[in-house]
Amino acid sequence: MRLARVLHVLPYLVVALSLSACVNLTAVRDYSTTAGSVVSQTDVAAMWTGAADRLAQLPNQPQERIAKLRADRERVFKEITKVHNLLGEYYLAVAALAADELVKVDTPIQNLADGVAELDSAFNAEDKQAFISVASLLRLPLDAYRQRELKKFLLQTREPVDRLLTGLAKLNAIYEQSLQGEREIAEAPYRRYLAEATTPPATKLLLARSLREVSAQYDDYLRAVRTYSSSIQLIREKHQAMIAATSDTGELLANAVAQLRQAQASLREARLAIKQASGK
Amino acid sequence: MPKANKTVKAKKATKAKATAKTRGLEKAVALTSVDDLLGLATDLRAAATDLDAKASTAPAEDKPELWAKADDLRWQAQDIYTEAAELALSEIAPFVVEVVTQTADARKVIKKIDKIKNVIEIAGDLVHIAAAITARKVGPLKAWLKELKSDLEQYRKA
Repeated sequence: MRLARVLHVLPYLVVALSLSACVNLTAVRDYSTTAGSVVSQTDVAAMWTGAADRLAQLPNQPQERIAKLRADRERVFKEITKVHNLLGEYYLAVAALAADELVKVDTPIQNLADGVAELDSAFNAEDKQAFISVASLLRLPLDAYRQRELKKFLLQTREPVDRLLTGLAKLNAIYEQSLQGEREIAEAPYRRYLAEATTPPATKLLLARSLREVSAQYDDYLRAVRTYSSSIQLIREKHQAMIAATSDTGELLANAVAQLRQAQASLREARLAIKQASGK
Repeated sequence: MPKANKTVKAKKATKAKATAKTRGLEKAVALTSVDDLLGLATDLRAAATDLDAKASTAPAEDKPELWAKADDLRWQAQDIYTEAAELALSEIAPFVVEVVTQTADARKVIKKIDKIKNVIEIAGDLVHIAAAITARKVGPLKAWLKELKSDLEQYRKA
């Protein structure tokens, strides 16, 4: 009888134990998934690499230089892609470690309990429930293990990941200035003929319209670079908050989770904006 | 900083300095950083803008030459931006290696947890098989053997 009473209490004990050891890693998982999808984006780098193709469409451009620029940029783009992919994989690994599904043992334990019930007819519903409750306790050491490993992983990679994100920020600055320089090459022929007193007024009107179109295109490209740049900056800033969110210290955790949720929303918007602007 | 990375940086700096020299820029700057290269490219673009301004007031026969020079400087600036991107990548190369190693370790932890869950699945399958044998039920036995095979395959993959 005493054993039966203990078995009755066990499910509640399991729930209580689970809750006491529980750290809210959902925000870390969601944030890492979003951050991973942003850092692995290569749209802006691809746009920078495509300079040679855009400049080749302009009249009287040096073909040898266009070929060299294309080859050089494509070579560099391959290396840039590796950094984006690596950071994407890094955030995916963080998200996988932070996912509660990783340590969920309910289904295999239920399967085991069903098997025991089939094997032994004396193993009644109450016994089965008690068995599941006790066996589910296995989740606790598994959860503690993954939390410890997640924290260790985040702390060990804090500096190198920050350096990689700083590197991406530097690349973004290069893309922005490079696109401004490319814009000057693309706009120069129009500006020169517009400044000429001998250019007929009708031609000037057409030239001005073409110049506006070229300018608008580069405005879009530059907007995409700036949006991506601020997204990377945001991910860099929130990296510390993500590490804080793996700790179970009350207010700090609550603040960090709120920050991560906010960052996640703006990153989603940024990603859409980049896709739209660079797709033109 | 690893020796290989230092060599790459030194080579880049020498290349950038030589580029600056051949371009007639008299700046006494040590082009060892991305910022230095970006500064050089900005100077080249500013020089191109000056040449365009000069061309706008120059006699018609001088204009093509001035425009060609301006274009040349702008193209050189584009090459410098490519060099700057290469330098930025070489600066982060050691950290790439570090993150690759740590991420691989994290994946091992995930696999380890998956394996533990898989072992419980296999134990469950074995108990079901034992129950099917005891009850002499061929249908369920076949189904659980199939399940066991699939779980063992998953375990091997993890």
